[in-house]
Amino acid sequence: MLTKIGIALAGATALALGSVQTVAAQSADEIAVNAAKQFSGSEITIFLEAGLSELGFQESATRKWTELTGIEVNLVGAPTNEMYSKIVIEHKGNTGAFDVVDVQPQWMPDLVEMGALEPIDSYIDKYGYAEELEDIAPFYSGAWNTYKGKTYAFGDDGDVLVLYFRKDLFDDANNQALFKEQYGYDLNAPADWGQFDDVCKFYTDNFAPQLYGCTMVRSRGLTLFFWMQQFKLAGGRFFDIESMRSTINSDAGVSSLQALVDRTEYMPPGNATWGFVEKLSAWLAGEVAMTVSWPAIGRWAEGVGTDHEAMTWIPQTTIANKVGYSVVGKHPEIAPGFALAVSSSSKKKESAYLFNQWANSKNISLERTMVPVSIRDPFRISHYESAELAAQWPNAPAFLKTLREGGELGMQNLSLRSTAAYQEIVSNAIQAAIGGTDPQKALDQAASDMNDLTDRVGVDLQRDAYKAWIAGRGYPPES
Amino acid sequence: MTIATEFGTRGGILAERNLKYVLIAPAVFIILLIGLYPILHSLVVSFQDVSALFENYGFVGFMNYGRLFGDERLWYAMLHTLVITAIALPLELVLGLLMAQLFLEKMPLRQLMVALAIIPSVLSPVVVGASWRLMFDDRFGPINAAIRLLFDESFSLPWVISPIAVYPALLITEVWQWTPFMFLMLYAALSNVDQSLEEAAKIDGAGYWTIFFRIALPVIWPVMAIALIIRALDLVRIFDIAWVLTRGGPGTFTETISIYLYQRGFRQFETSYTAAMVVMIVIVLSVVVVWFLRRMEMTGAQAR
Repeated sequence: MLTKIGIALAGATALALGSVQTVAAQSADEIAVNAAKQFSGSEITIFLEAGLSELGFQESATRKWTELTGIEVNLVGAPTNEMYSKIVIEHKGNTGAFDVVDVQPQWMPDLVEMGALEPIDSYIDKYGYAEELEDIAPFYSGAWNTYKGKTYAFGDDGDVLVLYFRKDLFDDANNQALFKEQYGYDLNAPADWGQFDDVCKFYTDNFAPQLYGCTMVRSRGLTLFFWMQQFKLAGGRFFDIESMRSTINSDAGVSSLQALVDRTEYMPPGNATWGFVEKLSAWLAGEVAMTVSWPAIGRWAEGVGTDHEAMTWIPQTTIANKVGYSVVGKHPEIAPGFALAVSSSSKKKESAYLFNQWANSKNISLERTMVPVSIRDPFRISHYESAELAAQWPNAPAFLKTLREGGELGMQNLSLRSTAAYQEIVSNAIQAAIGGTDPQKALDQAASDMNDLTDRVGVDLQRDAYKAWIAGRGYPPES
Repeated sequence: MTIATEFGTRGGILAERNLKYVLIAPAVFIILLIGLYPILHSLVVSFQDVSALFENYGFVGFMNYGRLFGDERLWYAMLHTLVITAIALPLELVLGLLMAQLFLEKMPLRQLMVALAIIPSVLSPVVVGASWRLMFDDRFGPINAAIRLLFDESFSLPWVISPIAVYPALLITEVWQWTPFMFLMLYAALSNVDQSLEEAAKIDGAGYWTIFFRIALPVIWPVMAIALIIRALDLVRIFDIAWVLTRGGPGTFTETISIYLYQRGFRQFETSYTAAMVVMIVIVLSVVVVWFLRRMEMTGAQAR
């Protein structure tokens, strides 16, 4: 009898060990697929950025997920600057309309505090995802994934703002000589914003209208990410930590905003109203020598993925194999980025989580960064080391190196309670200055509005959030 | 007549008198529900402290209303809205009237021309705003291109962010879209003016303006007044065109009341404060509209 029990126990143990080994051998995406099959025949809804993101999810993820698991996926898109509103409204209404929400990490404090996101630590343990999470580059996994010790999302998009410059124009011997003569130092990829302005002015003064020195977005909502980096690098601080009074109107604020306004003068005509698309067009058409932008620009400049039918709006590149990569000011801004989360009002949380694990996994996320319309940028160590990504164009290894270093040295975008409201205030000031208002006056108004907002949020509450943000590398580490 | 008959007859008259109210009651109830309930709900919420951060459904007194007076951005938004209304409304009226007078003349394909003339008013304001934003583009827009071609090839003006040009851009877009509405209303009204009266006046030696002010205007005044109220209320509520064209910028330079309410209510989720603003605006607009309608009635009574 005991022998029979012993044999049965031994057999069961062997079976269990075998299963564990089988699970251990499975990748995170395989685990997610196998687990998700129990929900076959059901449906989940993903809320995300409208446009290319939506199309990218379709082509790179959702169709495949449906094929593998039998779970139908609905995509609901919204313009970037309306996403936060829609997530909050849905949460307040508790409709359960969204299962997966693709959030910008800067919204994490607000969304978590209002209970809109589901903590997912238990699912991570259950489905063995902890190991693959380690592969996400530290900057895209810390504050992007966790809040007050709990995990709510998976960082899913390496949005680091890097410098793209025309190597051919910089390497040109005549340009080198002329720049040295006019500015007294060697022409190289600018190391700081002062040099950036010199180089921009140089090309515009000497070659306009055939070539301008630089272009950057100036539209509301996006420009603030670029200005914030300059502001922080100039020593600017958003608040006095003790009083939590805004110090955005300091000398650093005024000088960086004035520089942004002045720089526009050396950009192509009309740049003062340009958004992402106009800037991209000018860059790809070879009309400018430099730009600072998101990683997708790097791929499209080389013609990678632009032959897709959904990408026909992107002008044909004239600058392939002519682009170099760098960072202005050593610490680029990382903004806004996206992270996959589960809505707390979802009726299918486990199913939603499994999709997120699968889409964010090492294998699948690598595929997604290579799908042309995906606009998901590398964010894992394995992405930066990927031979496939490095083979996309001759200079891709240098591109990946810049993205990796940018991530490692980058500064987090402002993330507090009521981040969206603070950003609106800063955007108003920037747009007012671009429109001709004195930067000091514009920032004085912004500081006043920020103080009102801080008082309404609660000074102590906001101070805690501000300290947490600073600890997460909101400012340059050496400052 | 017997008592029974008398009661039966009285009951019949009462029933007939009340029947009309009974028949319209369901429709009135639904209209009141849809129209009044949101306002009443806003009134209740305006006395609470509900926002994205806090959900205090208790009575907090006049806290939100007190805030209104110190909110500089609110008053600037009202000023911007008044400026737009004060300029666009008379422009639309005058241009609409001129168009109506023009189309009263016999011309070939008049009906087709009228149909084409009202196309702007049937377009979505968002589409109109987006189209005119492209028209006003500094580098690629046809307006600046035409100015460069005709006058100064170095001309550059970023219409939608320049403080000098942004209001003209907004007003041009708004007037372009809604003048046809005014034209249509006035065209219909002018078509009903008795031509024999005008001819008689002409024979008596009355000039064009005398005929217009003494004969045509009193006839079309009720329709014109309604058109003015409708357009005035639309202008006070202006959102789509302003949002697409300028987003209320540069800064908050063209931020209208509706844009500010949207920012506070749906971007910053200050629900109670936004409700207080809504209640205030409803009260102010109601007073103005009631005053205007009374004036209109008095003018009409005097004319009769």
